[in-house]
Amino acid sequence: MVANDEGVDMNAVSAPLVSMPELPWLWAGVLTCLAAAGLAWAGLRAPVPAHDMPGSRGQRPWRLLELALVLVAVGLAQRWWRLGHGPFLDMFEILASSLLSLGLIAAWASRRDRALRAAAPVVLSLLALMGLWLLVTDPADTHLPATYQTPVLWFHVLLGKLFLGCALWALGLAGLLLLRRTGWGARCLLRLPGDDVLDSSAWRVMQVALLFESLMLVAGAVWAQDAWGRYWAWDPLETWAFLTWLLLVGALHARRSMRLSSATSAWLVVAVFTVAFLTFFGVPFVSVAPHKGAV
Amino acid sequence: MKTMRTVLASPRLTLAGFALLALLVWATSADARVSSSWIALPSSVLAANLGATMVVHRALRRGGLGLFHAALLVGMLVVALGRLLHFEGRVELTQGGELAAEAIEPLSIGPWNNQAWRGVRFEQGPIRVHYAAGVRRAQTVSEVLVPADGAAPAAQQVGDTTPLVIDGYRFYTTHNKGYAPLLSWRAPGRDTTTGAVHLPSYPLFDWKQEQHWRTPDGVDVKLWLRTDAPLNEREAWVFEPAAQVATLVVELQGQRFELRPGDEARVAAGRLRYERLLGWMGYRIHHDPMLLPLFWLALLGIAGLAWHLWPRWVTPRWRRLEWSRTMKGST
Repeated sequence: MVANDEGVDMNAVSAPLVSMPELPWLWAGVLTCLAAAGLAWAGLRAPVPAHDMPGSRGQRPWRLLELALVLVAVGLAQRWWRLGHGPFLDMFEILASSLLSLGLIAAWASRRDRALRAAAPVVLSLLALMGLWLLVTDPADTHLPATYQTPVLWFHVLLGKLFLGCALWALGLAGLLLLRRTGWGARCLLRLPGDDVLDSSAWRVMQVALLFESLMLVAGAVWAQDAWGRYWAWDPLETWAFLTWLLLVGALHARRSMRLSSATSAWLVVAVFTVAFLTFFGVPFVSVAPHKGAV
Repeated sequence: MKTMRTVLASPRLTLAGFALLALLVWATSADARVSSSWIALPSSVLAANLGATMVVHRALRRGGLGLFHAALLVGMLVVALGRLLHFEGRVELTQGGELAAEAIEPLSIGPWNNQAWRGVRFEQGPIRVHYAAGVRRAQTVSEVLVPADGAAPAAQQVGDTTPLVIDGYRFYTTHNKGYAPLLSWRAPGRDTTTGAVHLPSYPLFDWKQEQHWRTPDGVDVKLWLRTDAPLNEREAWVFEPAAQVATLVVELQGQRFELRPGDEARVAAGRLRYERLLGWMGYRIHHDPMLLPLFWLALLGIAGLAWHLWPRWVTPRWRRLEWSRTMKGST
């Protein structure tokens, strides 16, 4: 137990499940999210009424997602109230808070972007996958280190969520483009904008993602300098965040300077999102805390 | 001249710069003997590459994109300069003791460092570290006294996200801290020597609070500390050495003594007095005069990027038209 002085093991204190009133809400939210994803896929198979605008028939999965988000928000609020700190620390908290933040961004974007509304199967499936992951993740109580008790952390985390949310939005549009290249997708997604429109929309969102990721890196550096006495130390999370930034910048340059097909461009969106997703949720596999040993 | 520009602006040089950066980052993290000053090399190569590319491609010099690339270019040079001027080190300071340059252990020094760290002075005051149940570190409060010109030393509280900053050198408290029994050694015919012996970090080495010390006249002393209030892992507590009462077990010239504060151990070679229990705090020292310029450059670059992207994003009317046109085309 003394090794906790290093702050490495955040899950040291296991509380009995009965003392975690947030879990039923979170689980209910995850199940509703799964139902929303299922409904999105089922909706793709239904015939499209002639008068319908693309995506309008697919509003039901998004409404169901909004219900799921309310449930997850209640669960997270309960956990926050019980532990006295936000969900910033271990895999369970990061997954749950990301499910909420990504879901909120996707739900908001779906009201603005009709193409994204049609991308419900892609976006909601990913959220459902995160939900399933949450179900099998240890929900043990966490302790907020003193170095996390700074307003800069809020900016850092918020900017990170906005970055990944935008990347998810772009992934939805790129996913539609790629799905439509399959025979089945071509039939179901016929009444959508052309590939060039989907492609340019996806990359416009990715450009905003670049802004948020750049700001996230700056906020993270400010926090790291105050908390640990160095603004950059190439820890796994910092290195992968930098690689994500490089890949995104490289993809933007490649798209501008080379004549990429819409499909290649969409695959680039998938690649950037995959690296970003691994940075957010893969690196904690290697290091228990977001910044292992640095807390 | 044109060939030179073309070579410098080559995408291959970009890749080579990043490869060199990756190699040196790996080398500096794998081997402590490799100075992080070497990062200045790939930073300079990448800066030259970007500068040449901006000269070759006019679009990169215009508007928001120009501002972004200029900030990136200057930023890389500033990072390189920061590595040449930087200082990284660590020091352990006893409560009541003053920082001395000899006590500082430099870990990495840039070749252009101003060496001002040798002149930094402050005195360590009381130390308090709060722990939650389960020995999980919470707030760290380290009081320090900083000399002021012609005035009484100014007291400051540092710890966690608040470093002590003197002459651009930033002192950060670390998890590394512990007990330091204050001892006085008096040998026949010699002056009394008083000093503190730093015991291993606490509570990390709670089970190993022992130390070996040799007096100025060569007498070996073995020390063990036994606190009256042992570590309780189940409850919250505060590490506050000055408020802790402990027994110091001493082995001196084959004899064993159990000393309370103020007690003496007497042997033929001299007398060892356990004055009282103090604490020590481990600091990490960081100096990089380019921190603030780098921060503002980063924000300036992002502002340039936002300026460049804004017209491409905020075009709702255009987007609606685009959608309608597409819909008409598909039906």
